[in-house]
Amino acid sequence: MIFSKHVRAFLVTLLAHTAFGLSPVSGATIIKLGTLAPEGSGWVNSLRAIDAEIREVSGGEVGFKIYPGGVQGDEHVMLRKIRIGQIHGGGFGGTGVSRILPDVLALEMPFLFDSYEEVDYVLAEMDEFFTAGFAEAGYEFLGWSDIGFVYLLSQQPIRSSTDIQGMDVWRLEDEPITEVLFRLADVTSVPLTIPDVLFGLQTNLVEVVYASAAAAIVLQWFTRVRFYTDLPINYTVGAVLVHNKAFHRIPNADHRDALRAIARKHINAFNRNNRDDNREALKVMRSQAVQPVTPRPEDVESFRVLVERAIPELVGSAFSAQAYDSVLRHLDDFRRGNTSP
Amino acid sequence: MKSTLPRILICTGLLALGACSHVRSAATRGLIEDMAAATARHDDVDLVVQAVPTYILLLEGLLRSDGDNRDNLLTAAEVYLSYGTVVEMADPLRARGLYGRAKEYGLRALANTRSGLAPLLNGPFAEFTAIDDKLRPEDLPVVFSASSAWGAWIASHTEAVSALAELPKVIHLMEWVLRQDETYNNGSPHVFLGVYHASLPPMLGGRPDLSREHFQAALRITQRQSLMVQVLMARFYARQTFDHDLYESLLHEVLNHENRGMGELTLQNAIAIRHARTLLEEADDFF
Repeated sequence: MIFSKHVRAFLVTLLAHTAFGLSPVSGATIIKLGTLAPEGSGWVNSLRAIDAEIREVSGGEVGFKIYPGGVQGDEHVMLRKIRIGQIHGGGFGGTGVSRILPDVLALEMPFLFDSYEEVDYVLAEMDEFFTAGFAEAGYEFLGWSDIGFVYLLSQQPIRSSTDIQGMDVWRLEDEPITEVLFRLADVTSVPLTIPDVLFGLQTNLVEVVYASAAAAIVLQWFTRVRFYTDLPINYTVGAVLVHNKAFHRIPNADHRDALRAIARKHINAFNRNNRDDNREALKVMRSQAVQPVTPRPEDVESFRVLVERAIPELVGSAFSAQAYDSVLRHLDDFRRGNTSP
Repeated sequence: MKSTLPRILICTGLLALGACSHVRSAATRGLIEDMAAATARHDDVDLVVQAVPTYILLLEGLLRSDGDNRDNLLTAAEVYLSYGTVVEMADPLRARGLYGRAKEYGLRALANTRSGLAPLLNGPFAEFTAIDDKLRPEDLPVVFSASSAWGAWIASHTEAVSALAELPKVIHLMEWVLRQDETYNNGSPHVFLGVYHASLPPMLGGRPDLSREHFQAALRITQRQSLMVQVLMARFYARQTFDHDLYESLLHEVLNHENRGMGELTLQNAIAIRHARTLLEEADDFF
């Protein structure tokens, strides 16, 4: 019916108003944050929840201005804009975070973590280390945002590290860990930007890709693969970071503390949801006829051996030995039950 | 990463899509068509919005007497979709229910179109693409409206990965519509896909290059007379690509347009002009 389009048009007018967000209160400290996550996503909702609560707690003195959907550019551009003060921080994914602080990559080594319990323990123990690292890099660290465990997605089943040999494997450019791993695994890695991956799968330019399960759904890669290897490869993480200069423009120390606490609370809630989403996404992939391939223990070992060979090349270059050793030490503590209260 | 398509994506796409099914009951057809025609020519947005529930009750009545009628199902899908977009701002949960009905009616209408479609609609994407061999050119209106309703339902469930997993099917259907008739409903398939490709940043799979092509096609098809195309191109494409000059020029073009003698585009253009003003006022926040 013809009238319906007009009604929808009216809605868009309303949506446009709300999308622009709240106007800054006069005299308030407004922190401008960019993120690639689109409007309506759990991640942006979480940033908005932080904004709403800090505005309330600070009596309108402190708030966020959020630029979702990458409207401030990709993470490289966001970093440039932060340097010139055009925006003040961001909800970063892996690219931005590891560029600000390469030591974050020490958390993303393959087969490091076996569970989220291990992840949570190590991140809590290393909070001070990373907070200091980000501070030295010029940023106030407001919390880790979970991306999830990465899985291999493929057009032919991959059970062991030998299965992948000879296959054309996608690789994200400027990602040191995969670069070394794929070289050692003797696979042909094809660097493609993320938007080109779907097309690469359609045209068989690549036969193997990797992503968190939720990302495989959102990016629609699940429509072009037939298998996933039921072995979480590595944990990946982003962070909310605000440039120190902007953060310390908040005049009241209590408000700064309040923002830290509020951000942690909402980001932790987001992480819990995100983990549920990733579990759900694996189920959805199976319902979409993407079959799980379960490696045998010796197959898992074949992957681990490969990673062991990569470690010397990465430690001290891609990230510091200090970071990696700390991660291993805390992980070891956790596994021995030697955890701090 | 949990990233989802913004709700506005589908809603905005839909707005320009406009539904085109027709109620074929002889008793009501004339009335509905006359009202629809009058509505489109109206320039009072609020009046139109208040009139929507009347349509809904009328359509539910028709469905009660003939629940399997494909045309009635399709029209119901469109009306629920429309009303869902109206109530969404004030009551998103209620809108989700309305979109749920829109999707259900729309997919039932599509499934009733031809045998063998239902299993494809519910199956995995790898098998879904076989739908191209089953659909016929005359199915265009039902495919268009059903996928619009489906898209709105997904857009209101962006927090659910299971809903997002259905999006490739909607895009596939809309691309089918485009191949059948790119000019359908003032180039609506182009507008839908233009918004879709600009709604995500390239790093998350967005394709601003394709978005631009679709919007340019829609501008060509509408001869720049359907102002919502310019507004959506500014809102999605120009912002996503940081093209401030394009943003300003598209929106000023809308404001300078004399919205007279536009027939069925009158109301839509009135809304587009209102929208353009808001976007221009807020330009500094984005560029």
